[in-house]
Amino acid sequence: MSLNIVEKILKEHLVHGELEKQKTIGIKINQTLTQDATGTMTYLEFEALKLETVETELSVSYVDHNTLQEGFENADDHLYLQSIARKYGILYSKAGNGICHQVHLERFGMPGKTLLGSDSHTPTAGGIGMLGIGAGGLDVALAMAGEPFYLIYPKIMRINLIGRLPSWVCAKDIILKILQILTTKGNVSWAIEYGGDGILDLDVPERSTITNMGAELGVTSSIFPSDERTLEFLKAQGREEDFIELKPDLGAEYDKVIDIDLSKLEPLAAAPHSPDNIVPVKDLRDIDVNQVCIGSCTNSSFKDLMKVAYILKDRKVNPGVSLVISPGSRQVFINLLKYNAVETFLKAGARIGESVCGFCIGSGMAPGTDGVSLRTINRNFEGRSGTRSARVYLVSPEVAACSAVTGRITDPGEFGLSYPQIQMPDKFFTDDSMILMPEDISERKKVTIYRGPNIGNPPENYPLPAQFKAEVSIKLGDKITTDHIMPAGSRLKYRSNIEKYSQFVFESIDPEFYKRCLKNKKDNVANIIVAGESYGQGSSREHAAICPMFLGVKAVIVKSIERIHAGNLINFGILPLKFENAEDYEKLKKADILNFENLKEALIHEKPLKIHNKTQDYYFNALYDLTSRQINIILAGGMLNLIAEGSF
Amino acid sequence: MISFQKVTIPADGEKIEVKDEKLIVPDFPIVLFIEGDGIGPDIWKASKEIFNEAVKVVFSDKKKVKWTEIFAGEKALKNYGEGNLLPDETIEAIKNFKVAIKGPLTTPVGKGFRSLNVTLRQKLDLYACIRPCRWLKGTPSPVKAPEKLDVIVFRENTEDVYAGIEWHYNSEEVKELKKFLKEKYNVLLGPETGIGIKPISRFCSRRLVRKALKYALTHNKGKITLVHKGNIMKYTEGAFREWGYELAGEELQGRLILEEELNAKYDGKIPEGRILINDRIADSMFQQILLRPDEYDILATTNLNGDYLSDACAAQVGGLGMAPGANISDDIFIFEATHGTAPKYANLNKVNPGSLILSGVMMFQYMGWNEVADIIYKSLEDTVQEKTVTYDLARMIEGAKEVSTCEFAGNIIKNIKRRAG
Repeated sequence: MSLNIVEKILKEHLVHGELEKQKTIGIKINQTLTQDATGTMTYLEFEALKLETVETELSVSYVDHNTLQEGFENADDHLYLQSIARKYGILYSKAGNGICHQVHLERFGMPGKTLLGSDSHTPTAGGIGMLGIGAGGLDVALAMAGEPFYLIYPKIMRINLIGRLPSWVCAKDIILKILQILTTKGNVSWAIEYGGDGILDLDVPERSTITNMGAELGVTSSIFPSDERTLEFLKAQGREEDFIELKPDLGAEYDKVIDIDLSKLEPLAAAPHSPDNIVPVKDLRDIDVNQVCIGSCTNSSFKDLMKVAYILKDRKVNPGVSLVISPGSRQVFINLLKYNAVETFLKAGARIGESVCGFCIGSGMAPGTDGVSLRTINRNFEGRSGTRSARVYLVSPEVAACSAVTGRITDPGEFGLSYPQIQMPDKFFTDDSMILMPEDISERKKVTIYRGPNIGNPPENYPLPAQFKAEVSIKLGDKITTDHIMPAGSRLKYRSNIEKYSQFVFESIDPEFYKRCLKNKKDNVANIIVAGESYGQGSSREHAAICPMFLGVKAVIVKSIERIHAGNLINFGILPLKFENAEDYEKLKKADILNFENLKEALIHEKPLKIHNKTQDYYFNALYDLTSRQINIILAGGMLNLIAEGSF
Repeated sequence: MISFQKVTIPADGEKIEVKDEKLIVPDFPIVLFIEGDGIGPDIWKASKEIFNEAVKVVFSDKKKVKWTEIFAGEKALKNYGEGNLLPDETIEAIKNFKVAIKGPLTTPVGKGFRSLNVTLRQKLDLYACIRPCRWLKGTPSPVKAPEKLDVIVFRENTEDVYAGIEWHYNSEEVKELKKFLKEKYNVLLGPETGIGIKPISRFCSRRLVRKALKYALTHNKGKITLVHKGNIMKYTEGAFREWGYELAGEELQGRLILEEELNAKYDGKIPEGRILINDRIADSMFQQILLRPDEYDILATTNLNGDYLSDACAAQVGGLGMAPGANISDDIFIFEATHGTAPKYANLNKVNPGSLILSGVMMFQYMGWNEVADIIYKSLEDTVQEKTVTYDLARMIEGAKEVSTCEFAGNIIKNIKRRAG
């Protein structure tokens, strides 16, 4: 039978269930990655499993998120992660070695394998023909323990990229176009497979720009075939032995097919404040720019930054603009040095950032009041840059660099340069000395784990009561992101101290939220979050579930919910519920008291929940889409309890 | 606008543009025509009247074709003088105005003359020859159920043994080639052996198959068959097959289904929105069109196979007298009668204009004037069924009445008027 690429990989890795659309399956995970922001919790959870070593083929712990180190907390976390890695057989990529997805692509990604990462942009690995999936830290901890990863067998979309890109149009514009077509909504439980003759013009890092922002579409994963371009990249990395060819069989089936004629594309931008708010760059020209940030796991490869160097060569950054360039990895940085690109950047007047996530996660480089910031990153949610009133546009490195020179948003086709033909080197300079190897297995027991004062324990939860009283502690609108739920930026340093971090849940919307919750928790009243469409979109940030759990949230009731976040809620014993009738969303008011009656029985029999609104005195139905396995997790009060019970 | 010597561009005509291989047709489009040699003027005169009448009944006077004559063959010699069988101006006009319809052209006999049709194809890179073969009701056919065949042959037009790379058995070139083959590859050819070369390229194979696939996609045709002789000629015909599948995989993956899967999973019924792609060895294909004609929609093939196959298919539904054709590139479309000039019938007002009329139907379809195409097709069908037909059909249809070319056209026009009410 003809199989597509996703089917081929899933079939080969299937451990539980059957390959039937929209059913839950368990797959074997070959590799895992963590970054420090979600990593500390992941490893706290891994510790709780009391194993001696990871059971994967490869697990890598990266430090790329919290590197500002304004206090002791970040540094303590790094030391904790480093000691954990040594003890449990994990590779440790030190701060400064690069952004996890870029480094993983360069040094570890393998076509045909599975990668689970505690970061929503893990599908970046799809550029190399690897099935990369973002998940909560707990799922990653379990994968490191050799447990299968459970997911809904996705519907598979084929996107054919046909023809050739015009000059000054690049991979970023392709994914922005796809975001315009598919939007950030309604793509949950889909996987995207790319093909068409146009992909031969895209090298692996360019393909990764496209799969990276599949996260913004909300799809489970995105993947390219493994072909001669993949081999070329692996050769340049000195890893050609990791190559296998991986292509769909002719005539393979897909649930949807989209053709994109590359010759018709033009430079695009995602205007504030959503990655799917797509506008042609030429329609934005003459908007003054205050800041330009080039970097992130989306656009910071060697080729991206060589194009930037070509544009900046013998030119100056406009006096009104602050330009920051962060190479995606130490490898990219060193190779740029060899090609004199860094000198060009400095002479042009750019600021050079570390090879970390930095501005992309709101860690530093906040724009000024009402500032216009052009960024090559993947998200422009309101406030994510650190400045509430800033207007962030997502663009290609080409648009970013040209605009940095002119001081206005500029279509590079009108910049007056011919389009550069930049090729990847036949061989990159590579040096893995900042990736630390774990202790030899016989020596691991001797390693003591470093715990600074800010490293707490995973918070406890209690099993779900059969019935309980609750209050609507907050009522929210559509598109509430994980950034809204759990702000990163300067608050992120508290992430390993749940009690403290929980004070910032919904900080930007309702700073009093946590106080109300804690009072209810003391009074034995559960907290309920009510929201509209696409609740929890954004990242895999597990804290967006852990902290609400700590605050005593027992359920969220929404119109629709994003996949990763729903998975996280379940893992921490919070019920993800959907209104049966959308009107009930309108009816429900903040501070309404709700009674959850016969909860356990309804869940066990997989019936809709009948909830009593005591304040307004009416009943309404809430639906849920849970497997029996997930119901067990909820009833136990979360995965950790279930594991602790030994019934997992 | 380019100025022409002998071509008169209608002042009120508008230019047809091409975008993404599709025609963008104004209300008063300039359409070029070449009358052709031999019987050409007879059949063109008849066809043009029919076309104009059909356009008139469909669009009143809101749309009208602005016919513009260009010259090739004998009429070009008359207009442009000695040696000007295919004037540069004719090529320029076609490049500029994109759409033309033409009658048959004589290829002068003698050394050094290449067929005008081939020259046109090469100069304009008309790489796809498209030949729809569908039975028009009432047409005499040698088979029992001619209605079962409804295929379109996409024939590669620019390479294969037709590219004209061949030498006489006595030539210097053949001597040299034989020497080269012997010394280099130990290939021994006997005495007095002519040599031709069969080039088949990836580029040309892919663009032809792409054309066929696009057609299938836009016209809701469910099946496309690559016809080749790759079991024997592995690196030419076999390569055509390989590249055909490769291209389909690159550009239509997700919309394709293979035979194996179709039978195993879908009980032979093509699921909505998907196209069956298969291949047949040429000799088997000839059997198949006779034995299982309804299993095929679109046949994409190399030049020589396509030459044989399109005539065989045409014969099955009534012969070349009723077979339309087109030669196209990505932006030029020439529709033409598929038969020859039949000089012995020239100016006798006797022959069947069906092939040219049906080429016109095809042209109107490409122009998006589908109502015009429909009414012409149906009225031609009516007329054949009324059995008042030209001599070629009359001798094959029992009880038919033979009429002249003009009368035949007049009957079609009557039917057009009747259908328009």
